[in-house]
Amino acid sequence: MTNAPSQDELVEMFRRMVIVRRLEEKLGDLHKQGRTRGPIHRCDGQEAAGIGATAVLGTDDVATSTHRGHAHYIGKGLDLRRVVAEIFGRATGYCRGRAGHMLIADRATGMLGGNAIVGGGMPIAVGQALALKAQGRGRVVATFFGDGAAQTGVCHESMNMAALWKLPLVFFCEHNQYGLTVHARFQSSIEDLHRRAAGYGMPGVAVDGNDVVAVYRAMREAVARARDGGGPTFIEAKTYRMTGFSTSDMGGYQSGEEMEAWRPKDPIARTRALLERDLGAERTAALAAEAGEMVERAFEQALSDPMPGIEDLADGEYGAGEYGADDYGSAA
Amino acid sequence: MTEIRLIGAGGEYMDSAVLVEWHVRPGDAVAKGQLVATVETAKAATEVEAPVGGTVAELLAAVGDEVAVGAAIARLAGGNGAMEPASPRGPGLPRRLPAGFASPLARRLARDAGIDLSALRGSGPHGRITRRDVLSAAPRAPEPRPEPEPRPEPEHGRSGGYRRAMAAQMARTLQIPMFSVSVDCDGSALLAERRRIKAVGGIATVNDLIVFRVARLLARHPDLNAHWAEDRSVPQERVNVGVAMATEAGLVVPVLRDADRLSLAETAAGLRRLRERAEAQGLAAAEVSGATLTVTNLGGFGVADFVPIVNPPQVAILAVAAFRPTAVFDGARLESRPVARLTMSADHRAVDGAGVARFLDALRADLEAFSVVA
Amino acid sequence: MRRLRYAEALNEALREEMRADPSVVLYGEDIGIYGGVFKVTRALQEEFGAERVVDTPISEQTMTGMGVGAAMMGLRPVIEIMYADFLPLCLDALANQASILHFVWAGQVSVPMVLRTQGGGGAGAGAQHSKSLEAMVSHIPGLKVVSPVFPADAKGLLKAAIRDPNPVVFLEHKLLYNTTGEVPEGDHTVEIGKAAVVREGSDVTLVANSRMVLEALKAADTLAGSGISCEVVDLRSLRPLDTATIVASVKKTSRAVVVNEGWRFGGFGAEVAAQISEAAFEYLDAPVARIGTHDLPIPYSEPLEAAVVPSAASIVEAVRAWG
Repeated sequence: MTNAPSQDELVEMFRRMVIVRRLEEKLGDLHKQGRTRGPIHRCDGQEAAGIGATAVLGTDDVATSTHRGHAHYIGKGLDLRRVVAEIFGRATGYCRGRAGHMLIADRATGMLGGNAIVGGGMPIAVGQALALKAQGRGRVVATFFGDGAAQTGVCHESMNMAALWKLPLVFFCEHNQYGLTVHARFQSSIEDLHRRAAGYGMPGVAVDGNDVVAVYRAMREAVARARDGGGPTFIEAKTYRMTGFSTSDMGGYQSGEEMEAWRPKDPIARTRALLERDLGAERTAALAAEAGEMVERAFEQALSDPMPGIEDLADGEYGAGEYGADDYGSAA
Repeated sequence: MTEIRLIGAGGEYMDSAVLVEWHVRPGDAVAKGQLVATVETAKAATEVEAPVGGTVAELLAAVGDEVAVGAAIARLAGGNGAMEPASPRGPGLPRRLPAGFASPLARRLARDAGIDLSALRGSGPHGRITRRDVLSAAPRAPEPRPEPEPRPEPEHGRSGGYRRAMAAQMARTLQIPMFSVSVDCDGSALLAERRRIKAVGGIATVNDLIVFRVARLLARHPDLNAHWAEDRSVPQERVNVGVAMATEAGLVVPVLRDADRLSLAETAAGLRRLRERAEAQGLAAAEVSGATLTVTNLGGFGVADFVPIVNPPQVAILAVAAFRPTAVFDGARLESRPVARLTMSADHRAVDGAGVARFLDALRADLEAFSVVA
Repeated sequence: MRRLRYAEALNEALREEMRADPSVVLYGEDIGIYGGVFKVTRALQEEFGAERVVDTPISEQTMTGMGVGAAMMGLRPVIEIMYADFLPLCLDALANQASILHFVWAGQVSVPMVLRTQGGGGAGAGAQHSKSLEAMVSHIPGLKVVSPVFPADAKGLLKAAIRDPNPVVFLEHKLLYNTTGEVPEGDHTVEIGKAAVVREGSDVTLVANSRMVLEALKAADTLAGSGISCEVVDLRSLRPLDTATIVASVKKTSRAVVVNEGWRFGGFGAEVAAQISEAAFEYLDAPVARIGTHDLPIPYSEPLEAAVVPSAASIVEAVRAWG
């Protein structure tokens, strides 16, 4: 199979998907206990899309994420404890508690970054890709967005400009069927969003977003094209958001029928079945258990981390220009 | 004997304050409502006022002391009124305002000068009491600011001592590299304005008009409104014009303070008062010191032109000669116009010829276009 | 020193910075072969190529966001937005991205981007091409905002803006491009955040920015004829605002008239007036007056436009009216 992941890669993707699922479930539990702050957007059911796509990126490559970015953070290699610390507003978080869960960034791993304006990351990704192209280093940008963001003006402007200038950029659309509470069929004039790519003169592909191997393969092809100067690709990963829009979602708009239809397609269960065939049930279960314990430890540590002191606000409004072009992806 | 006490705000925010400054000393007379001390709470610096008029007998707290609300901080002797009940408003809250509607600046000036605003009538829009109204109620400079005095001015008195001082002062000028620049100025507009003022019952001399214009212009020429100090020229913040006056006892140069801020009527009144005091030989030392530029006018003697000598630490002096009928060709015909020569001498260490020329050119333009004043 | 037109001074600043620093790039509409509709980028594509002087599609929102992304990757983009009236299109990228990311990402990125645009009335450009939106962009922490009136400051501030590690909105005025002034040759920069006293006076302080500085100077000439001496403060930078210079002047004159071409209601002039009231209350002999464009969409017809946009005459009138 062309562009297929190695077994080691598949194991790693499985491990990360379990981490993300466990992270989301823990957040749900803590929210019910009143221990979270502000809305939290879970990606249960969409793990294969975020993890499969980021698995193809190097640390040197850049990703922009969304308000629903936990899989992208973990997939891009961010440290779980510092992600959780940021979600809980701790001084040890990636942004020292200034960002919260929707806006996490990490310069060292090229996560630049979460964005809570629907579609807001796409123009930024165009600029990042333009800069990387100008710097001529063969690095690529992946911009993650949903079927909601696909309806914004900037999405269309961004696709046009990226294709026009043949930028090293992958438009990765996680089509989870809902823009907040409204189904895509009430938001989009067409069902298959990847068909829009043709209108901008770039390849567009649809992929089963709950199949981590399929996502990986499509992304690998797109990234290779971008790296080789072939310009952008539009990938539409069809998936489903198993939880509400956010922890503040009162529900009532996703039918039980619809959810039951998607439940058997659970990406983690499917990957687990794949691994059990090669590694055996016991080893696969051990992998999952280990990932779950890691999440527990990360929460324990992060929740005992200190809150930022208000003196952190003292460095103020403006920057002094600490970083230059070479400082990105420095963990590579 | 009345005690001045620290008054609380009536709320919970203040139970003590730190005394940061005394504004009075024992023996000072204070008026009711006069600021006597500044205290600082965690929130803000606020002020303590005398509850009644009297004489400060004793200060009961020192700068830096923490004073509890209600504690006495000073004693007043000879209080001219009974202690008023404690105001429900404490430090940090607005004082009771006079009935008059006054600008914030007017209020501050009045407070500093101890003037009762309710006694004033406002001349500003809607009867607003403005700076002008307070200044005219307080002929002496109402904004006492310490004035740097780089060197002692010649002492002025009834004896001939001042002549010796003047001689010594003039001798000092020999060390100054001095130069002079002259322009001729058509005084038609100026003389017409004086006639107009006279016609409406006002009193203003040609010199008053010139000093008025010079002062306003000086505010825009800091290079000339300066003092020479040691090795450099220091532009002066205020415009204080010294006006040379010949008296029986000799030349005196009283100073019109903040002349750039005075209206024409105030300028005329101020110079008239100084002249009266000079002629009575009653000028105080403070009234002949601190000039930032001198105007000397020998026009009354009919002189054609003359070159004055800079009076240090000032860096320039303006000489005004007589306005004499002069034939002027205006491009179409020959006309007789009153023309006077204006000569400025200046200290070349502080200012150059072009600087002086620019000033003279602007002054000439101002005087030749003299019109009604704000 | 030679005299240059305002547009030439900007062009020179861009050229010098692009020669000195290969990371400086230009993005905008019609800025390439055409040289920009106001000719500020004239002949720059010829010298630096289409990779560094990029003609973009008519996509202001993405163009601005693209500037943010390029800046955080180490380029120094200078974006030309043809009319300030199009700033609302750019506002997400300015208010939600450029201005916040350095802070919210705890210093992990800098956004050294300049967004140049031009506004202002008086040219018969109508309601969608004449606005002065200083207040809108100055409201946002994390942005710097400058609006020079003289060609020398235009050059000096543009060079400083390009070198600044923060996003800077650079506001020009369509009626200034053909004005001329002496401009220093070579590496002339002007510090962002510093106002200039461009005329000294003693009776009233006129605080102005952009083209209104010229109107304030004309008004000062007129008022001098009636013995009113005006000090004119050219703000140059709107954020950070040089409150110290404004307050020092007002303490001297005791009166202030704030002249800003934006709308009065919620306008930038209101901010300056508030700063003066807070810092110099006890020095004020009259209320702080604000002059601005009438609170109406800017009409097209000449007499109508002239009636709503401030001028030297309206400044003179305000100074006289406020006693």
